[in-house]
Amino acid sequence: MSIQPVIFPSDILLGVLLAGGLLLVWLARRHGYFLEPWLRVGQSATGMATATVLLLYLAVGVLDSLHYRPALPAENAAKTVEYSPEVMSVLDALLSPLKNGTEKTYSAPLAVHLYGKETMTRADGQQVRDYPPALYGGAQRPAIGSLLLRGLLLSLPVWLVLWGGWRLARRRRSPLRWDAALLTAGLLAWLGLSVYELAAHYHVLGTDKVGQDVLYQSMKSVRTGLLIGTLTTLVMLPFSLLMGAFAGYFKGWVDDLIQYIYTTLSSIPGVLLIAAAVLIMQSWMDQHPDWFATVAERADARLMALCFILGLTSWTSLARLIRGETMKLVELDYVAAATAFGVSHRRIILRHILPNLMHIVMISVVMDFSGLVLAEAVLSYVGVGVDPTMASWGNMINGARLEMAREPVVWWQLAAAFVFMFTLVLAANLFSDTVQTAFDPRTRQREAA
Amino acid sequence: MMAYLLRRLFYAVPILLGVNLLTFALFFMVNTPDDMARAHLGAKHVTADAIRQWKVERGYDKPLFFNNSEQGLGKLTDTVFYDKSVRMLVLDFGVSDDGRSIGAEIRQRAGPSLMIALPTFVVGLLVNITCALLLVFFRATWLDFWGAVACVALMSISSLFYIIAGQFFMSKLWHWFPISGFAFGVDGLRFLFLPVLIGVLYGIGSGVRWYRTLFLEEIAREYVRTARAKGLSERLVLFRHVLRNGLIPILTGVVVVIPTLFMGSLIMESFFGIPGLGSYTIDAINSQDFAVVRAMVFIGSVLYIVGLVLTDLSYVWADPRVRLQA
Amino acid sequence: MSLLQVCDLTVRIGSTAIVDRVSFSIAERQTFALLGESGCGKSMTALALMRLLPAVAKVTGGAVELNQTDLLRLPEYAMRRVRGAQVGMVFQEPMVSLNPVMRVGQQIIEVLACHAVAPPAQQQAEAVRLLQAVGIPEAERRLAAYPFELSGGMKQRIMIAMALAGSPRLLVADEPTTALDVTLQKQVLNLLRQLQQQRGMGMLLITHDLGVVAEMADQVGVMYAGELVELASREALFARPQHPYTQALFAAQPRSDRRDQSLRALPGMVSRPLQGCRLAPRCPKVEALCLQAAPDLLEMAEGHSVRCHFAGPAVPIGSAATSVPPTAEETPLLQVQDLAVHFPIRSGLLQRVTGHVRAVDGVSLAIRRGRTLALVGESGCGKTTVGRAILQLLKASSGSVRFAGAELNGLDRRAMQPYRRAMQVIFQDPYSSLNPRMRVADILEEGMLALGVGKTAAERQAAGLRLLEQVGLPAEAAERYPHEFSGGQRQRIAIARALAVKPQIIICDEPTSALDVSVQAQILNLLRQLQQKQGLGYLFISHNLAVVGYLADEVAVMYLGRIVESGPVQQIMQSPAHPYTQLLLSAVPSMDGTGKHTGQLASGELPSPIHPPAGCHFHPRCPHAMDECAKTYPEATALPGEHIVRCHLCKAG
Repeated sequence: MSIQPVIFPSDILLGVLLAGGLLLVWLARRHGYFLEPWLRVGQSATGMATATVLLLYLAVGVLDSLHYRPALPAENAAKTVEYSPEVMSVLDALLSPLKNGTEKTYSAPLAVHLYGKETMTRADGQQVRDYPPALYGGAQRPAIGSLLLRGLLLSLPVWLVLWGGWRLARRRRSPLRWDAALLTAGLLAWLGLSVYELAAHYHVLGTDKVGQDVLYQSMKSVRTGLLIGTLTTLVMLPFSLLMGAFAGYFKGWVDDLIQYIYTTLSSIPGVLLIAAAVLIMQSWMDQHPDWFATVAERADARLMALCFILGLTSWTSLARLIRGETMKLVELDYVAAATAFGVSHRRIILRHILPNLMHIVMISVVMDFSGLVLAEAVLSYVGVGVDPTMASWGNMINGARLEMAREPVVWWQLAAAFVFMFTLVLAANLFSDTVQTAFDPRTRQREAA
Repeated sequence: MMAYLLRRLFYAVPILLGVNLLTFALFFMVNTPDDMARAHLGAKHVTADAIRQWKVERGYDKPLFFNNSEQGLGKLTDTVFYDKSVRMLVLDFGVSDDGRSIGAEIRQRAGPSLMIALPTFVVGLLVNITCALLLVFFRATWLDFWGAVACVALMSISSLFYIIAGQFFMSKLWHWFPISGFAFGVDGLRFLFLPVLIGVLYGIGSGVRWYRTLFLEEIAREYVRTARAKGLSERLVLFRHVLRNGLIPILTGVVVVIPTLFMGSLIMESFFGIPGLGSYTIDAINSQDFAVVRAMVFIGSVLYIVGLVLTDLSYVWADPRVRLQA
Repeated sequence: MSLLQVCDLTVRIGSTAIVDRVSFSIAERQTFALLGESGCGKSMTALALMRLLPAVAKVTGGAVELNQTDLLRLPEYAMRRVRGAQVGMVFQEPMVSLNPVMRVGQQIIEVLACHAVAPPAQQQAEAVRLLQAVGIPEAERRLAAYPFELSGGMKQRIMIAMALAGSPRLLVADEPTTALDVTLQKQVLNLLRQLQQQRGMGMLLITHDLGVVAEMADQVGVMYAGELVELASREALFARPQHPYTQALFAAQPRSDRRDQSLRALPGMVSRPLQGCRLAPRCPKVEALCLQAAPDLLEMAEGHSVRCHFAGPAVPIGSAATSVPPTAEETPLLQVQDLAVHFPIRSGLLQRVTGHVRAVDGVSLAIRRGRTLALVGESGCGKTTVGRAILQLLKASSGSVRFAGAELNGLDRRAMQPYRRAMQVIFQDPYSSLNPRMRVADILEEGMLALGVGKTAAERQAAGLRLLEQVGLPAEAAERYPHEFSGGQRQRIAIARALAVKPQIIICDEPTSALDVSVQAQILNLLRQLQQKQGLGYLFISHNLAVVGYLADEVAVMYLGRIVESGPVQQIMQSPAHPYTQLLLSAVPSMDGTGKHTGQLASGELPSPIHPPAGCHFHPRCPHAMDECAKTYPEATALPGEHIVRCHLCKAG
């Protein structure tokens, strides 16, 4: 065996999350009412198109969550296999040319030479001051145009398959907007294959200060963004649901206590509470360097801690919503009917209250996601975000913002972070819009009026 | 009415106590003064003497809650809890870890913070409401559709990009405004334009979208149909009926942030080099000055609670149902 | 000369014509009533001619001519001069139809200013005159009030004043009294009629209530599934209804003289068959022709048009089985004695209890096996609270509730459990009484599971299927969710759920007041049939005296938390002793179609239960009030035949 799988805590949670997603699918197949709003999401072109984009991001994130340590080249046959201290992911393996194709310093996107002039000794011994050539891609690079053409040609079979899928959907009279999803998938495939062709010979998005490929960094940041956006919600959901439902259902002193807790927590400015918690966590970690075997492990622990802190400081708003909705539900006749049967509190909450809160949970999960992705960048800027060694858009922006003063401007790192983040957040926002319309009975009424 | 407001104020007391206890627990019990000293003194192998010295200088060497070595009331007052936490309740913040008076810094820095935050807030609110009303007036047309899409696009951009792009294009490339800096008086106005402009732009996406939803919700109500049945023009329906009712939920969301404007914006101030409370906080975070962070947490909560009370007041002012029944 | 001429008006939502080629005309000074059940398109017709349809609905054909001007072709700015000035409109829900944050005076003056009815200086005075015209006392002071400070009936008067402000030629009233109590309904209808006569307006009255039609209309149009099916003068319609649907509406009315038989209700519910007559699937007269060709609206006699291939006298619907009242036991199964429910009012800095809402204030009732006791009263009188307190869903402040001799008040959750089987409940709103997230089978099973009825899952399932059959639903309903059912079907499910634990008493809290009259008839029949088979005792809470007269054996009339009169149904309905009962009965519109307006006019509204009037609660509204009434609350007086009344007038001697 040449690899040793490594499972980080965050990988486990991501797995839990995916399993939760699959559970939802299973539930939806069993209970009509669960499926129905999702069908409405599927009937919107925006919903299907953005879902496709989000799935692509998710795929990148999942590939980046399959971690392992490769075996080191055996020194002699008799010894046991030694594993590299560096943790790799499947994504790293797939992108290894990019990962390893580093330069000395900055180079602009698609440039064949580096950013700054250097004094070099030519073959004839003469010293010249010129841009050194980029090492990556070799001396004989195909022209950009021909690579783009190859990307287009490669995407043709993909388009053919997608077209077949569209025909199938038409024949089955599927009510969902497969056309939007397939068209998006086709465009993404075209884009992806073009970049793939280019990336074999160029740094498509340039390189950073230490010569790392920016495209590779941006892709590595996807996992960080996704985890912050989803794990945080996962952490806070049980809190919000139980606290909100208990406060709304039992009323009285339970309500007073829970309200007191969340008013107190929410009265502390969010950024400051997070900053304080992160600072404290940081100083803990600093004092216990022995807890973590590798740098990656440490960074992962810090990411997890950040998710927990964000979750614990942000459960209050959802809890407040849930409490309000629960109070309305408790007044409904079917709860009175259940009470008239002597149904226990536990069962009433489980069967009558929680299922009818699901739309609020669904809406808030998708709505929070984009806010959290954006928050990561700001927190990293403030210095209380993810570990500085971890690839994240926030860290990319933070590292690059000072370089805007250079002449000529080093813009590509910022632009790359912008494009990757904007695409994800925009897709998430548009998707959450459709989810909200599909799940919220109020918006549906309004659209009808 | 008065009783109602007094009661709301009365509710604020346990919350403030809670915040105080929570921050104390967070800063002194989860993270002990020893940890603080070690983090501050930096080097990995500091001597016990150095730590003790550091703690004595800052008054962290006392017992947390109960001082057995003192007499009478001193048992309670000569403690970290009394020095650092109880005093805070009367807004005595003590000194920062580098030995400067936090209270004085706050007084000095609140002005600059407010000079950025207040115009941003007022202009932003007006712009957002105007745009939202415009979209609602043209509802179900292409203007409304693309306006809503533009809102979503605007709110999908990180605030950092607004600032970086704004500084790059408007200052560096086009030389419209100075890149950063601050000065009091008329001369300082030129420094304010860019941060305020960027702050307003940043808020447009989410603001307009939210207000638009509120107005649309209002416009679907039956009293609007009654107003139309009276023969009122769409303009009157919108301004006299919908706006008035829609402002009530807007108020609750907006008034609560007014006091916290004093706190300034963390990133805005640090990007534009404004000597306000936001940049004070961010510096404190970066230098791990817990005394300052603790003070800012407490002030933030006080201001938030003041905001809650103001919200109640504004409700009373705006909604006759509350005014006359409470 | 007709004032309004509607010609082939068609309104569509998507491809469905919710109003399908409707034509009628209204003359000056005439009231035209558009009658139909919910969803028949009558409100859409009204909104279409005001051009106030919701965005999803579109007028796709026809013409609406007001004084020879086609309103559908006017540009929007010109239409605005029609709304409010030439056509005024009154909506159903006065609670939500007024701007909550604007003083009512401003809302009225707005109309005056908009249509330049009066110069600014005189607008205030004009508004006062309008309020006086709609019978609002202290008009000047009321101008400064906000809508939430006014009672429901007062708000509807304000709505009417607003509609009149522009001196319109035509008044459109969309179910103007549906949200109001019966005594207020009477007041508002009288007001509308009187104003119409004074001002010589035409009126389009939208209603689902045959009683309102009988009181108000000159001409009547009956709508079914978007079509006008019968058009006649009121006299002709009430004397000789020609369309089977109209006939069914009459037959489905519960009345005390029908109490010995089941009501004749059309089976099924409204559907829109692709071809043929829309009523064909439910019609007792249906023949082959009806299924193939849709009939046209043809004039049968002078001014009487009918859309039916076989218009003519009615044929009976189904068999009207005469019912034999089950023998009643003498000892009551459920005995309520001096039940009181007081809700504390907290106020001030420390939220001390400063008063009580006396929602229920000393109520005594007795329910026997196999009998129905009706609890009657206006909304807000506390009748629903009585039901909930009996079921121990609310904590009673004092008094006793005894089931078969055992005291229920004060029992804790566990001790109450055995009695939960015995008493069940059916609620008013069929939409909020079923959990939308549970299958019907689970809904039925829930009570059995909680109370240990049926040992195995299979047993409970079989019981569920039996219950569905009992309430007239197909077995496959078990696998479906509530939203797939209509209001009437949901109410059947709710009944089945209550029956699942084999109760002995069912508390029916206005079970039919959210339903259309034909569905109401189905549910009433079902309730009665179940009672006969299973010997159930009902506490039937209702505000509808017609239903009570049909269903109940005994009646208790409730006013402001107390029972003012109780006794056997015949005595109460025929010789009511308490002035309040008399008032309630006189407010029920007579259905003879002669248009006589008899009976005393109820005045005032239900006072607040926080500060009930001193002495007899009813004295401020009572036409016979004496000095004594304002001082002491009257003792119970027993009249012959278990008839009890609390009124100083009826004291012995």
